[in-house]
Amino acid sequence: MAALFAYALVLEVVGFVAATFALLLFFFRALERQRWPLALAGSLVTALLTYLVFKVWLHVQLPASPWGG
Amino acid sequence: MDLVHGLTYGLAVSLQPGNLAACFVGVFVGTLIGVLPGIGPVATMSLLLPITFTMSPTASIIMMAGIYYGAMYGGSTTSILVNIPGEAASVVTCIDGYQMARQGRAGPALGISAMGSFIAGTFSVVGIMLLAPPLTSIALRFGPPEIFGLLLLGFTMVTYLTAGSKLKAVAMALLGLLLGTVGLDPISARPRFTYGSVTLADGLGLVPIIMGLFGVSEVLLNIGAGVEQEVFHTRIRGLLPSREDWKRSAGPIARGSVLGFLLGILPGIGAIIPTFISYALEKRLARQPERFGHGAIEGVAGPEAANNAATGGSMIPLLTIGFAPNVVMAVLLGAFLIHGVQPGPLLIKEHPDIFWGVIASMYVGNAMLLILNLPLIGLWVQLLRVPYGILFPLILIFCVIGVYSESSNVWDIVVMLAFGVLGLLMKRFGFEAAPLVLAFVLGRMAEESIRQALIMSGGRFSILLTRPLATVFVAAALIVVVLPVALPPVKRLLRTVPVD
Repeated sequence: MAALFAYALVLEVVGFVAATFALLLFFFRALERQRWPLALAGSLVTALLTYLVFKVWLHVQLPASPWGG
Repeated sequence: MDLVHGLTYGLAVSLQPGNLAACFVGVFVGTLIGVLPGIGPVATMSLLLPITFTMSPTASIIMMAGIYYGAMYGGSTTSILVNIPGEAASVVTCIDGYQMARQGRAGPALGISAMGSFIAGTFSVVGIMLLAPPLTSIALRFGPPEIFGLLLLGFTMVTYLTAGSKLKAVAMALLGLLLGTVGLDPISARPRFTYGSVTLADGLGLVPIIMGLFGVSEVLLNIGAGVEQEVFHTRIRGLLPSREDWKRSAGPIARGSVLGFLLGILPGIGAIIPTFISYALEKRLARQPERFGHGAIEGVAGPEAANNAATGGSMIPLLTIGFAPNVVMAVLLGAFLIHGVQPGPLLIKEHPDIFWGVIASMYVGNAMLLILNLPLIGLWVQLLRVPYGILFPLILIFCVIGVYSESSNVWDIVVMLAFGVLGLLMKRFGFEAAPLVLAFVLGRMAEESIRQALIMSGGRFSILLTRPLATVFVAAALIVVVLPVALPPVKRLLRTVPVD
């Protein structure tokens, strides 16, 4: 829960993809106890995929970071 | 425009490629989230609300409605196969549906629930067509006092017809009213309960509240409980119910359709209560009531028909008066407003394409669902095998995206999370979220209408009693409050009278 609130706060600072990646990594690693490679890959793919689907395909507003992502 | 003309026009609208695609996406997504536990039609519809910005109003309403009745179909699949209701209106289906599945009759159970839903869905569409135009002409005479009277009736129904504790429902409704006052005063634009915050001056958003209470809290609950999913491993064969099954189900489906439709029109009922009433009714009418709870097909057919018919019935107040009788319709109302369309008595005249298009699309959608559900049940069952550990982060992220994209305000995400925690506590202690959300939505409308009414009358509340329609609503609301208190003593009195 604390992780989710932290996520909301950093969302606008570091951008959607980075924040989501960190959050998912935390979920997969700490709550689901997946192995590191699997957790890393899973988080990265999910973060990028949701970004592509919602931002690029559906043109939904997402929090952007200073470097555009 | 007469009925036949209206309907053929509507069919033409709903068969346009864009609208047809919207309808398909709607029922597909609806079935999907109906199957998946932890995310229901309310959260999904608010999630997809921002995506509809770029679509035409007709297409987006068609899609939203499709999600709603699609979820009703999907929810029953999981009830029968896994004993987990995909959404609340399928709870009753678990009782006999799961028993049927355990006896190796999962196929007919799924089949009859899909057929029953289809028949009831079609019935309710016909009902809307016949009832909506005459109701519209009554609704045209509605002014602020009438609207306030109707809302008052809605409030009392919502709180008094709850399945759980009435006191808790009243508490939730009051909390919802209070939350609805946050923001600028609708008449004088004075800030209330904002504590100097710019975000709060806008009022609390409906979408973050709904996503928090219905989406996030469900996920938190499931993480805490550690969902155990035991999927039925036997193969499902023979989806078609036998002639014997049909004979048994025909009555329940017919009664469930009528019951669900009529109850669905009333404010505050939603799709859940009709399923319980239908189940109780079928059990009472059955020649062997002891079969209920041990895989009676009537116990699946009746409630499944009732919840789909109620879905259609609840569209009536929205389309004719512009009044949301339940939470799902509140979201749908939001979808109308986003596109600058005010649902209500003028809808049929000003936007016939939306009115008839949406109604006709429900025919089309129901047919699609039948096709989608019968052969694809295997696919939906596979979906249930996706581990929750992968599912819940995705649901959370979709909720975040949905809330953020609506307002581009990070604080709305914080609001959503706060309501997620609140919703979790409410679930733990047996408080329902529906009265809160409805009171939140209706409270603002009620405040506006009563204050306009008072401006009309120069501050005299008697305006509610001098206009016949308004008086009827206020009186009906009073009866709903008084009846449960007054009834038991009256019954006792009657029983003491000797009967010969």
